[in-house]
Amino acid sequence: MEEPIPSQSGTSGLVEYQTHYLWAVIIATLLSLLLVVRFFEIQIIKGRDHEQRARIDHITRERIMPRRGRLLDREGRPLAYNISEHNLAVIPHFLDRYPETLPRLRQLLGLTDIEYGRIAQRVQRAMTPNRRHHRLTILRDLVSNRCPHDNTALETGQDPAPLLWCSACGGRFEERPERAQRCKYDGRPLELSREGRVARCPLCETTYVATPVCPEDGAPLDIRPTTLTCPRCKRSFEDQVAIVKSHLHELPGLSVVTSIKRNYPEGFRMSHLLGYLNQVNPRDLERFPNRYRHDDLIGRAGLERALEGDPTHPFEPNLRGIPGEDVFFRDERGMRQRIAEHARVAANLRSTPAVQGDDVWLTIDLGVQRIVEQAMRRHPNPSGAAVVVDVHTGRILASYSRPEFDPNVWSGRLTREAKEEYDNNPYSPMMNKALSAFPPGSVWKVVTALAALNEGLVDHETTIDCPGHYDFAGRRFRCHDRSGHGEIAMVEAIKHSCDVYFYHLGEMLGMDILERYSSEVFGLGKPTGIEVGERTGQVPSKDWHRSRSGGWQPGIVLSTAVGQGGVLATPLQIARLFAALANGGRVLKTRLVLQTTDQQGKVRRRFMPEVERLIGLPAEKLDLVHQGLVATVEDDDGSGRLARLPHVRIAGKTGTAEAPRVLQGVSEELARWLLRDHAWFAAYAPAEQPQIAVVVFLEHGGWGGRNAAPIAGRIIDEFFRQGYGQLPTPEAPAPSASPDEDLDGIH
Amino acid sequence: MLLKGTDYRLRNILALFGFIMLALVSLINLRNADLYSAKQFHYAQIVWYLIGGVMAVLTAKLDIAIFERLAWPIYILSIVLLVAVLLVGVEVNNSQRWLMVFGLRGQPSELTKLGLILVLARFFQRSQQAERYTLRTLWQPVLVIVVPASLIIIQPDLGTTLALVFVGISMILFAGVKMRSILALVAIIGVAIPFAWQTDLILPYQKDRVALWLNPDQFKWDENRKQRIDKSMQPEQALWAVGAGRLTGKGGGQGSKSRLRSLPEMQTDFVVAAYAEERGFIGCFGLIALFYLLVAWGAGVARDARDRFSALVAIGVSALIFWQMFMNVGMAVGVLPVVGITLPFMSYGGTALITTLVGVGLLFNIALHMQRR
Repeated sequence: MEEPIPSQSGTSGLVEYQTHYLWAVIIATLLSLLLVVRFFEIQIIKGRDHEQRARIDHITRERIMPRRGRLLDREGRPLAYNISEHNLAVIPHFLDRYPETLPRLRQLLGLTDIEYGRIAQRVQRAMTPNRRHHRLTILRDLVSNRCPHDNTALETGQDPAPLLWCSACGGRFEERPERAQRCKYDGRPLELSREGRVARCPLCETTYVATPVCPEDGAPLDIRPTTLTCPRCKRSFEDQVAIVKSHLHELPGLSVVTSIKRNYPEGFRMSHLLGYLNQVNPRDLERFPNRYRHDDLIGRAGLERALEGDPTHPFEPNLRGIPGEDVFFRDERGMRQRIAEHARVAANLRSTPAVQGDDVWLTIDLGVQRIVEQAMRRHPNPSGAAVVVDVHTGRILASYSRPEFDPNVWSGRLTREAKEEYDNNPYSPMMNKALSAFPPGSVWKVVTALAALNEGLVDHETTIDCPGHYDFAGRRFRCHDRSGHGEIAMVEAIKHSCDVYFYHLGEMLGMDILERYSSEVFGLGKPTGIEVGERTGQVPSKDWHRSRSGGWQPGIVLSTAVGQGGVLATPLQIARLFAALANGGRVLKTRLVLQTTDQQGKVRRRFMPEVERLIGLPAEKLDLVHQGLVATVEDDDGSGRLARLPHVRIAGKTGTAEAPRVLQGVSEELARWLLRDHAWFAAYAPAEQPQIAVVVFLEHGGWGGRNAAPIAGRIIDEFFRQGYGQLPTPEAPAPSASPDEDLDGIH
Repeated sequence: MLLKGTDYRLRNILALFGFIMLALVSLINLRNADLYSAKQFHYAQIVWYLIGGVMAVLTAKLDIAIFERLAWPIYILSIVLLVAVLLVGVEVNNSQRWLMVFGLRGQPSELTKLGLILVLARFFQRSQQAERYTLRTLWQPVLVIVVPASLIIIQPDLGTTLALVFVGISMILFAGVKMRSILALVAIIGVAIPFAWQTDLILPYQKDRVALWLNPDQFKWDENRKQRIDKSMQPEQALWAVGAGRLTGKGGGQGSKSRLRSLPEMQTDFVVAAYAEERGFIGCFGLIALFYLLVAWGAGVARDARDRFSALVAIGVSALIFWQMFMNVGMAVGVLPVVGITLPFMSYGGTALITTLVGVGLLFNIALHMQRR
């Protein structure tokens, strides 16, 4: 430093620091006082509130899941409801620290090597830093109080058969009863191997051994006593939940988690209609933001899917309900505290209750459904559908499709093998054939007939000669009766289902008029109003044909007139058509939902029948077709005579639709099946005072008159025999199939 | 003002006791905060106190002229380090404030505080003006403040920047400024703050904090996502913790431990929240009073210093302690928006503590050579 610190010259400057010092102290005093006052406010005035609030360590929000509504039939019999399910969950992190847990679990539950391997693999995959502390479900639906196969309540067995388990290879066996040749549970013949020491059921895969020695490695088998038996399937079980719970101290990281599972007591019978549930996938989460969380269940098919519910449509049936939220505090010790006690410090936080799902009552009558199912099962054809509709209300009393699937399996533990089996089944078990479109064949002729009658092209006397074939545009169109029906009029033509007669009508009508009648008058090729997803079928037009590879040809109109060509209709659409013929011309919306009720059983909404459109044709024209339909069944030479019943008069129409399909690489039997015709039979009964319309459809089932008609007859027979309908008294006035006077025609 | 007319020696001894008391309170409090969070900051803090204490004693013993000579070197070194921080600094909590030297983490902005005080004091020592200063004659000190302040605000570290600016302004005002210029300065600040707001010199999270401070309810609840907004949690939790202390406090080690998860800066910026819960209103009053008395003593030292340099260094160090204390406590009790700033003596942090203790050393140096009047 060049110059020394000037001590004296600065003195004059220092004098003013006295004032500046005072200013500094004043500012410091004021600001410090401000802090002290603030401390006083926080700690003394509001101290109690703050202390209380400080006790709250964190706020927890838990979702309250609503109860999913039940599905009930029209009488209130349950078709789908919730049951509890015990799952085994694990926190993977603990298994890292206690590697003995899983082997012990294997021993306790007698797991097979496949099951054990799958669990070990899942746990291994969850050993990531993110997932290792999260609960992971490793075994679903532990056996506790109901049978995992059919959900029947288990009983404490009288003398339950012990299970044999090989601790070395994990194989599970059962003791073979003395020289038994058939499976204890399903009666299938057993497959014997290893000089008769091992017998295996090909269906349920139970393996029987004669002596308690493992056939794989010769190790002595553990005899595991069982305590429970299923009264329905007779299998014996260990109480897995009890086993795990009583050994939890040996199984660190494991816990039994109870969750909800959907149960379908009618299983196969209603599978397509009801659908099933399973976990949401990423696509669902994207499609419905903020509505679902991982591991939530979502309706997948049928009604479960259609009535899943949308919170934005409060008046529509909502099976799922709306989740609520429980908000509470935890204090520093982790104790739960109610929000209400802290209302003053947490005004914004409020719990919201869940809105429970609606119980949905269906129009289906379980009794009728059983009748339909049994009637269909009598026929060997593997694939088909049948529908019963109330002709006055459009309510669907029964709807059955085969082959079925098991919604309990699809809602629960669906193994990859089972899924593959369903996927590879050539008869499409997952498809609801009552709502799928097929060529309708001759049942379509009622449409052509009514169109021609109404256009005045023919009347009841007009006859057309059927030589057995019809030459048109250089092509020969054959009648199904090669020898021909001769001179034939309307009633006879319907009765014999004469193709040539309808070829003539088709030619006279032309494609455009035929199309207009089908879609505008009868509402075919359009949705029927059913709540679940359906096919709309197809009413072809010239333009539609032009857009196809084959192009438009004049001959197509002849095929269309007899329900071939490009015509497609669902069994439900045909049922609706016949219901309209039966009720005097009202095309109804077909309905599956009768009403919804809340948890207390109070009706939330009742769904009334709705008329979608009126056919609006004069009564005598409908009556003429009605006569034809009655003659079809009731005359000795009618094509539907096999449906005839002694006590109920039926009006019906057969249909045999050509629908050959060729698939490569299928078995000869299947290939032959695919070439056969579709068999149809549509009817309403009783003919004098119709109550129900019945449609039976057999995919590749052959002749409609021979195959489908008897099934429909049996359904109608049982329907009235079991008292579901009122048979007309002999003196009652005849046909009710007359249109209302005030209905305007749609022309 | 207080103890007026008493012996300088007695006042200095009382001040020394005051600082020692503050150090002890700080260590006990830090140990308790560590207890809640299972951390071991207080051991390191003891070491920093020892190092800082030795440095304070050395500072007090050295000739004050050495610091006048070292003013520019320290200042320039700190500027170089600030630039280095921006280039090779360590990022913690999205803010680049630290330099790694020999495996130790240091905050160069702390050194800047000392450098700034010394350089400003030196400036006023050199410019022996008879009149009071005007804005025109003050361009050099303003530049001396603005350069490091800009470097620090882009780290970003709003707290330290504000502390620097407040310390600088305090020193300038203490040196004597014309009333007209003071008004002009107020006007400039009135323009500068909206400008900084608009040009995003103040970052969005800092704006959020100001908005939260002005309207605490605004951020409590997100209607759309139906959840609490995290932004509000830290000051709210601090407020609850302070309030929970009530009159006498819960006692050492008896605060709610678990709240630490929502009060992450319990050893540093929110150290006073832990203190307030344990010691209550009485303890808080005592702490503020202690700070106030020490700052007042520092201002007294400035008044009675033997030359301008000493006086301005003394007021600079006092201002530094006072403004940091006011901003930190004010933030914790919600009278100021949340800015990251440490509480002198109390907060954990090596560089900050050493800076403060060196400043205290300077104060004692000046106090020991006061002008007898």
